[in-house]
Amino acid sequence: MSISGMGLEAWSALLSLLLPFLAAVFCIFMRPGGRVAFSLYFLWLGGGCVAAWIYFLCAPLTDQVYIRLSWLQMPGVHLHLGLAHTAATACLVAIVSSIGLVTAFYSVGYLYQTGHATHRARYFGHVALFLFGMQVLLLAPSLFQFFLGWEIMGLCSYLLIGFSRESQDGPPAASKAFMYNRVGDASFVGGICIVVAIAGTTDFQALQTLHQEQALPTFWLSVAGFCWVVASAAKSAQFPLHGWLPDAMAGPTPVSALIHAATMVVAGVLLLHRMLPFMDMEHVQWIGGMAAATALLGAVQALQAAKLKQVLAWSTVSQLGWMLLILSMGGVEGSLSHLYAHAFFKAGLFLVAGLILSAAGQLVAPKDAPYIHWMRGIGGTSSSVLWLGVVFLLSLSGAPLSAAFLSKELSLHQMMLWWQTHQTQMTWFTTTLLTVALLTPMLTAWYSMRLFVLVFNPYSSRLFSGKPAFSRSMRIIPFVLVPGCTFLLLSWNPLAYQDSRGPVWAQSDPEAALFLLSIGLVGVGWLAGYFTTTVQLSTSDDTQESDFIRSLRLSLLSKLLRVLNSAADVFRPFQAERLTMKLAHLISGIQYFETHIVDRFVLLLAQAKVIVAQVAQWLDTFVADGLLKLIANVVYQVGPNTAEVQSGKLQGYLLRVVAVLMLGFATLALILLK
Amino acid sequence: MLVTMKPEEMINQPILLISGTLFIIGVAIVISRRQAVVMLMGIELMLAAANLQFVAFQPQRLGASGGLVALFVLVVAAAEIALALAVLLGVYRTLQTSDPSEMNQLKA
Repeated sequence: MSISGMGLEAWSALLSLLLPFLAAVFCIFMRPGGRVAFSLYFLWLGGGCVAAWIYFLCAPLTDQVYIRLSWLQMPGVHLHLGLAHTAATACLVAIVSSIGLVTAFYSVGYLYQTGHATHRARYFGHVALFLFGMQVLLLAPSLFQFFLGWEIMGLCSYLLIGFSRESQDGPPAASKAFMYNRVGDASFVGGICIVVAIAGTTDFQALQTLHQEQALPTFWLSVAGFCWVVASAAKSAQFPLHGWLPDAMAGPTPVSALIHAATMVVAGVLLLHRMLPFMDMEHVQWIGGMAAATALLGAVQALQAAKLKQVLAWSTVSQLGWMLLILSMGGVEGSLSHLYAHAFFKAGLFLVAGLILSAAGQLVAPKDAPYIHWMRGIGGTSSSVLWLGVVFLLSLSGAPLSAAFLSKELSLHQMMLWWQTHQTQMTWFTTTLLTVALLTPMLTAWYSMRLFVLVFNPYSSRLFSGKPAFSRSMRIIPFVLVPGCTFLLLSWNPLAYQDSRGPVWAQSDPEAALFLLSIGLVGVGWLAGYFTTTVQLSTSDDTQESDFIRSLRLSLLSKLLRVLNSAADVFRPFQAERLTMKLAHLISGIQYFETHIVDRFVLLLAQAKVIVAQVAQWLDTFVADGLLKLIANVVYQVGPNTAEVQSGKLQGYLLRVVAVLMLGFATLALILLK
Repeated sequence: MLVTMKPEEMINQPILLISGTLFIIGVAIVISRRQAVVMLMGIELMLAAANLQFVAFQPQRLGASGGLVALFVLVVAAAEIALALAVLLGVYRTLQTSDPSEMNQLKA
């Protein structure tokens, strides 16, 4: 064990790690009606938050290891636990504990309203443990401790998503999240095994030194890199493994705020950020492909999701995909700053969604109305909820003066640098990546505007009756998150990421163009969102109007017909005889044409058709049906025989496992003896 | 492997034989018994056989870490058996049986 240079920031980092754990422990003593343990819980959590801010404000600009404990030492293997400072992600410690504290305060009212107050000890204990897991991960000096925090969070997310055991969707969603995360965890363990095998340690600093000396074999590093990508895809809900996140909204809403904003999904991005130096830039491009698919998929799903929380969940999927896309283009600062901005506005949006849904729960829904439609305009009935929604949605769509605007600028700036280095060797793949990186902010603005029109628009015609009641105490809490959504989060200057550099967009011509382009994309997204949603609304529920239009059209048609008839009456008496003669000639000519040419042609066509049909029938009975029958017969024969293999008897399976293993060992022994 | 072994390393052969026999007995118990608790005993026998190997190879090949791993296995086995017994109790309470061939509720 070595403690070196434990200054103020080191002690406060230690406190911000340990106090949430202490709070989790105190929940054992929390009784449903008791107050002492409950107050102490918030004292510890608040203390942890203050310590985290002190740590962040005093933190040095270089990476340091404060405490290093040896956890396991064997020949060739040395695993460490401890406390380390990573300069790039130090502010996440403060952000996580602040958002955690805000959600915990909010949860008090939420649990009371949803009638779960009797289980609050379990709930708050898991929330504190969740935060502890994230801090363990953030302050990890080694990959091994990173994995410990990763696992604590996986467990807590399972427990919290399935918190309400009576609900229908909660427990299955929890299991689903757990299963998806297992895939990533297995991959993570594989990566750690590879790193231990080739380096003997999981210490970040030691790994970096070894990597700089080029002492690590590149092939195994790429394999480990693949493991990290799979692990972070499961944790951050990337394309093939994204299914758990939209379902996870079945849990309590404050928990969604925690999972989507401060903890859990952030871990995947952080893992890739930590491991990026060890990866080959050629392979990192392929992460971009996965991330771009996720970004597009999430955005498109968010555009058509039917529930408020579903829109938010898909938006998280899309935003995470965009962050990883930027990260894969080398935009480390861009993606991290977007991560910080995203944490604040997404937590805020989920807290507001919780307010709205608990208020909507007290209203009576009209029949046959889609979920998001009948409660439209509900956010506009209270001015404070309206303002909260507008601020968070502006930040989500990346409007000027918001934090997401700055992080988006920085990300696009770094995307541009990447483009400039790859300009000579553009392929369709890199072009697609660039297009998606530009398209996603537009789609984000699009579904933000859709959400505004559907949920928050104070002037929309309402389908529900009565005035929804928003809890007053819960309504105040999300305001704490508002400063984090403004440009103050990232810089004092509303137009530039850092004051010293001056506006990013003023440095060169293409960047100014990019700046205008990004504002333009947001504007286009807003317009598209506004028009598509209003049109969708006007066609979906106003059946009376369309009836009116139909009757109007009918009356116009009948008038037109009457006018035509009367015009024909005027011409009738003139030269009737000559006209009939000519008409008779014409008709006999037409008759000849009909019988001799058209009829014959039709007959020929019919005969050809009969021949073709007969051939087709033969093919059908003997080739297509025969093939199907063959398959069916084979399946019919094979099915019962193979069904016996799956007997459901435990020991039968074991016997087979033993037999296969013995066969394998026998083969191995034969090979080795030769 | 056996062919390349030097004469002074062959001392452990009887222990290897005992360990192999123990392992096979364990496998046989696990596969054939109708009592889940007895199956657990079989698993313990297999673990003991593996431990014996670690200790047997300790002087020549593994050094001090052989005994260390054996200790590790002991601790993990204790934890595992505690969990397994708890699971079995739970299964017995719900199904009223401890016969593994009757635990086939997942089968359609």
